[in-house]
Amino acid sequence: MSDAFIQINNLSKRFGGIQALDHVSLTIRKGKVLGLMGENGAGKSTLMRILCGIQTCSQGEIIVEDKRADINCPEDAQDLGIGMIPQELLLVNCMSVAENMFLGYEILDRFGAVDAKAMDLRTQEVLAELGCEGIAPSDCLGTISKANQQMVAIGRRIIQGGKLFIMDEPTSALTVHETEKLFGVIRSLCNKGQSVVFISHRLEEVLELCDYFAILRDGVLVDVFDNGDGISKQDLIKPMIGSVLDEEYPHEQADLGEVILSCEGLSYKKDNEEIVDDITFSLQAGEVVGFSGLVGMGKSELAQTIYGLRPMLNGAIKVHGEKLKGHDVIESSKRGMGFVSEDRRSEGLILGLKCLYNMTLTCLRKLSIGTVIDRKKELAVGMKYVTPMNMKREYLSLPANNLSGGNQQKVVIARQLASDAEIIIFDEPTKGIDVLAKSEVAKIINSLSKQNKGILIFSSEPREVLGLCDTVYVLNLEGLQGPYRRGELDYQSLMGIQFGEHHE
Amino acid sequence: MNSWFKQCSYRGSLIGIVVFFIALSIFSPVFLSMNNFINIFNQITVNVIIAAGITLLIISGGIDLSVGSILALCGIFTANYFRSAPGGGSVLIGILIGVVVGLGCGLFNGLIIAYLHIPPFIATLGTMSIFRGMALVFSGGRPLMDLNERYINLFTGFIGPIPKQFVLAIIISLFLYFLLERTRIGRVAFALGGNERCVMISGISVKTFKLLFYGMSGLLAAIGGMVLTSMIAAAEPIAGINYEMDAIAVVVMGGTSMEGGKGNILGTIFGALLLGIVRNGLNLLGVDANYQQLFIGLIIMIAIISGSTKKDA
Repeated sequence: MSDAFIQINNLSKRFGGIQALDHVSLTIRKGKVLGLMGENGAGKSTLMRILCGIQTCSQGEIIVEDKRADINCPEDAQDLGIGMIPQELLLVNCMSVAENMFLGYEILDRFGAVDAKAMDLRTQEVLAELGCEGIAPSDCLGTISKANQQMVAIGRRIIQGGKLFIMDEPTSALTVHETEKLFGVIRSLCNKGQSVVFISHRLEEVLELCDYFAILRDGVLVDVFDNGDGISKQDLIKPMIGSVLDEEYPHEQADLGEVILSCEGLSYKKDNEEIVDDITFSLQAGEVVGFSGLVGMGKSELAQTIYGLRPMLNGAIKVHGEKLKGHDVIESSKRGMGFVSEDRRSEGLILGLKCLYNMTLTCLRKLSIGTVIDRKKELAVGMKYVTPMNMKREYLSLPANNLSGGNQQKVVIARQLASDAEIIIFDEPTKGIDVLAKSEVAKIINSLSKQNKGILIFSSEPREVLGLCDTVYVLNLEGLQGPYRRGELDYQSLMGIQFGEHHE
Repeated sequence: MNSWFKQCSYRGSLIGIVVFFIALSIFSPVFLSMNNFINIFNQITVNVIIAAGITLLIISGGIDLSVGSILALCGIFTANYFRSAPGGGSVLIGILIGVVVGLGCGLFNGLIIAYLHIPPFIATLGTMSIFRGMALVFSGGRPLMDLNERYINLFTGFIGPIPKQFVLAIIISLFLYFLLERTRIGRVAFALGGNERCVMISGISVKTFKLLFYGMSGLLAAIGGMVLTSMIAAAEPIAGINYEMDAIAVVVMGGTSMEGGKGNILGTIFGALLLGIVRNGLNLLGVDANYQQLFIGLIIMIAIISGSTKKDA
């Protein structure tokens, strides 16, 4: 018996004129974790969607456990034990954990009614198996943490008899601790002979977790190799982008100017109703200030409070030494603040609208005479940002929805640039975008600071904060720690502070 | 077929217009006459004026069910003034009253929706009944006649061969076309319908724009009321019942998406034209009134279905 669970032979897929997958042959091994790597648009998702029956291939064959398999719909994949845990969890927030686990596969009693007791029992078993303490089958899904929701999604697959677990960016919403726990679960799945395909843009993670790698570039499988001691990030990046990336986070020190933003004794409520107080810091022109912290410490909430999206319970926000008159978005943006939301698709962009229109949304007043838009001026604004951001001109007339995540993020950033915002707040600026786009966004942020803008970065990726920022603050259980100057912290000590250790 | 036509969101209405035009030219001896065309134009005028406002609202992610009631209420207020003022009153003041009432009703809708965060469907469902009730109360439930002749003449009659009120409808449509395509107000309407939260985060005053959009819808309903009152030379408290539904139907037939963020005025006009031609044709062919209703419903459905662009799975 071979150790192959799935053998993919010469798989191709075309979308119109685009060759999404080009004769891909790959073995998915039993009891191993495959790190499927590639930039956005390299064909990772297409390949996985074909395995799951969401799309069909144009050419090629899939052999599951030595038998040729015809996977034409998700039910076929289900029967073969192939299941995907998508990036955006498809769960129902207002239903209980147990109901979610069995959604569509409910256990029925002899009268044909849903057997809630049996479902609760089985859920309890699966939760224990996954090492999830602290959640009960009857808990409402919306009230448990993202990490636990992830566990529920995995549990759902286990209940349905999964043999292959495909996980698309499962760690993007998890803390370091939760990620470790998830890795434990993945390893125990593998020990039982089940297979896992793991997709992530976080290179440190995949190096830690995966047994072997398959790397896709432009629909072609460019490399397959085992993980081992000698394998470094560059070994992954090089085949992915076809060249060596000189620096993930290029940094050049800008000259610092006067203080443009200061927060004094700010307090606010987190999503879980806990109060965070006594946030005091200042931001100089040309400075990049980073806020790091574990999920749940109130990072995003702080970003929202500063911008006026969330009520401020106490304290003061001053721009150029002058207190804000009200505390709402309209006042903040009038005073030169801009906000790049963590959630591009639901807060950052109007997906159906042309990219150009997305870019000019906040600066329209400047481009209009009365209310009539000067279309030449508008186009000029778009053209001004396309080239330096390494985007194509044609993107301007496409709906934002048609762009890759990285390019979408550039559109959101271009909107801030066009509006002449002086203080730009970035909440998770590189979430869910590929390595190349990450480095481009980093370059843009760097060039902004050289144009004398003040930048606030809220990020859960410690390396990003360390790489990009002049000054770092950390939010932990005790409140705001810092400031730490550039070079004062390394990865280890930053993580330490996140977990509440004191830095000497 | 070229790609423009495949992409065109109102192609269902265009096809319908061509098909019915040819069919009616063959089967009805009077369809192809100037008088009949004028008849069709007259009949769709009020619908076009109201639907222009509804197009703006649906694009911005809203809806207004109270337009038919606003139309009636404006007519009643204006008529009451003309009947009570000595010498029939001034035309200008009559128009002003209509405008103020319509704008007021629209802003009232906007206030409830923008500041109290009531979903527009529910809010205007309520005000639809309130405004209708007010129209009935202030008229005593009876049609009000004997209106100022000069007022009536202002909205009826001809400019060259074309009815005045139809010219008015075209001017209003052109104005809204310009507003939607070329101005900041229009751009914000599309943006709001596409993603309200994003617009809010961008520092744009969502409330102000919502007020503006609902105010505009009320104002257009008031103009519709002036035209209708003049055409029938009476203000009826029960005028304009179901006009909101006709307006929504032609807006959607014209390819405007009920989800917001997508749409255009041109399609709305074609939708209204199709509906007008079908109604006219059914009358000319002497189709039983009971069957007319059924048939019109089918045409609306077909126009919408054939205009929808299928999404690739």
